[in-house]
Amino acid sequence: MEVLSKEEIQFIDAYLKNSDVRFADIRMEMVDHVASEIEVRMSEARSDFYDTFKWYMAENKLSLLKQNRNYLMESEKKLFKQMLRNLYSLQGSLLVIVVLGLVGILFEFMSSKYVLMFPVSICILAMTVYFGLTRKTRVRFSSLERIGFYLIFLPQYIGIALNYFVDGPLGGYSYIFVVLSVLIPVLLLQLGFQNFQFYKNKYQAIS
Amino acid sequence: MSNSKLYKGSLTTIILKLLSENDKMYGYEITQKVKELTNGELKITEGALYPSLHKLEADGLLDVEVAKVDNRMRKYYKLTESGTKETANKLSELENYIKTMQALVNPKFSLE
Repeated sequence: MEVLSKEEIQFIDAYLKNSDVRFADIRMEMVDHVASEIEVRMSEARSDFYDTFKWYMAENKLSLLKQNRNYLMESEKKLFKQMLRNLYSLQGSLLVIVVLGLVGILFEFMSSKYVLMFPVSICILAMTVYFGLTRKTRVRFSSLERIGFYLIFLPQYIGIALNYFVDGPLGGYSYIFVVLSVLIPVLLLQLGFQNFQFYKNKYQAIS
Repeated sequence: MSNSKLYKGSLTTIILKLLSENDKMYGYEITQKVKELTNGELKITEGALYPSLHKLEADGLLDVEVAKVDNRMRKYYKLTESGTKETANKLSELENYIKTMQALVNPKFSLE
C-alpha cells in the first residue's frame, strides 16, 4: 500500500484550506479521508499522486465542501447543547441563583444607569478573559472561533437593547434583560474554557 | 450511501454497531468496513458518514482521540459508556423493525 509523503499531505491540506475549509479540526479529518482514498486508488491504478488527486477532487470536491458546512452547523448545535447541559447542572443552577440575587441587589441599591452598564462590563470582562486564554492557539478551531464570535457580538446586541431600557424605570423586563445579559457571557466563557481544554487535550499535536 | 434510501435511517446503528465490535475506528476505516461486510452493496459516502459521527460525538455517545499516523493526523472514534448503552437500544429497535417488516412483507396466514 502506498503511503503519501509529508509534502503530499501538506499539498492536500493547503488545497482544502484554499477551498475555504478554514478550521483545523475539520480539515484534519478531511485530509486523512482524502489521503486514505488517494493511497488506495494509487495502489490499485498504479497512478501518481497528482493525477489521482485531480481525479478524486473532480469527483468529490462539492461533497467535501458540503461536509464542511454541515460540520459547522453541527458544531453550533454541539455548543448549544453543551451550554444547556451546563445550565441544567448543579453548578449552572447555582450560577443562575447567584446572578438573580446579584442583579436583584443592584436593582435595589444602584441607579438605573449603573445597573444597565453592568452587563456590558461583564461581557467585556468575559471577552478579555476568553481572548487572553485562546491567544496562544496556533490554529483555528471551529468551536473556539464560534464562541469568540458570540462574545464579540453580544456586547453590541446588549448595547442596542439597552436603548429601550435606559430612559424608563427599572422593572420586570429590565430585570430579566440584565439577568440574561449577565448569564449568557458567563455561560459562553465557561463553554470557552471547556472547549479550550477539550482541544488542548484531544488535539494536542496541532494546537 | 448506497442507491437505496432504506439504509439511511440505519446509519447511526451501523456506526455504533461497528464501534462496539472495535475498540476505535476512523472515518475512512468505517466506510471500508461497511463496504467489505456488505460485499460492496452499501457504500457510505463521507457526506453521510461524518455528519452522523459528529452528531453522535455532540450527543456524548462517542469520544474522540487524535493521533499522528502516516504523516498526518487521524481522528479516532470510540464509544462512551452512554454510547454502549445506546448501541444496545438501537440494535434492539432495529431487530424489532426488521421483524415488523418481515411480518408485513411475508405474512404467515393461519386458520385459527
